[in-house]
Amino acid sequence: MSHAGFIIATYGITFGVIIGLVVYTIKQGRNLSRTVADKDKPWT
Amino acid sequence: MGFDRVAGASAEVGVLFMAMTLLSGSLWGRITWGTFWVWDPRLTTTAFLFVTYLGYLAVRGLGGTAEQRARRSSVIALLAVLEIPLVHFSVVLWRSLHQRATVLSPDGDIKMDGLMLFTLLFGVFGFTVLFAWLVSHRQRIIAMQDAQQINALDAAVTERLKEVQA
Repeated sequence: MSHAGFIIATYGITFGVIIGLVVYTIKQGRNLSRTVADKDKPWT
Repeated sequence: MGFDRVAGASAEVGVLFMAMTLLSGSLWGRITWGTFWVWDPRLTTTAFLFVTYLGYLAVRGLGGTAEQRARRSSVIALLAVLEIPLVHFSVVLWRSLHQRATVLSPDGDIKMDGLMLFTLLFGVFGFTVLFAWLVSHRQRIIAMQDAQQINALDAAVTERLKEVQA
């Protein structure tokens, strides 16, 4: 168990960064979509 | 401009994935090799690739129109993509502290335990799906930022014309 700290840190970095990026992307997308007209969002 | 947006979004997500690889890899290296970092060919080429793509993102942020951004950054992208095979073959070309290729080895033999191989492939699949999802959403964000910039420029030009006419 002497390596538990390294393993936990690795999982922490990986999931922390992924969750952070997903939340940031969703928030940024929602904020931008309020300011941009529908004609500039052909995927909607 | 669609391809440029996908390239930009891929670079954004790729840089973050590379940062995670370098960070978590150094933790693995501390346990396995007894050190967080060595100037080994695989590690050095990966770090060089990371810095190159940071430069690519910096060039994308220089400003100008979407067309100027696409032309400027594509030059960096064409040079940066040449580094990817260098990273892959670094363990074959040079003697290294990093183990040689275990899955895509030149002799075609997979030198890995079955359960470990399954875990690796499961991780590759999961991260590929995550990458595709993130890129699809990030390129939409870039498209909306571009539209916002064009609209702001149009509004500024219209306002200036009104001032001139008044």
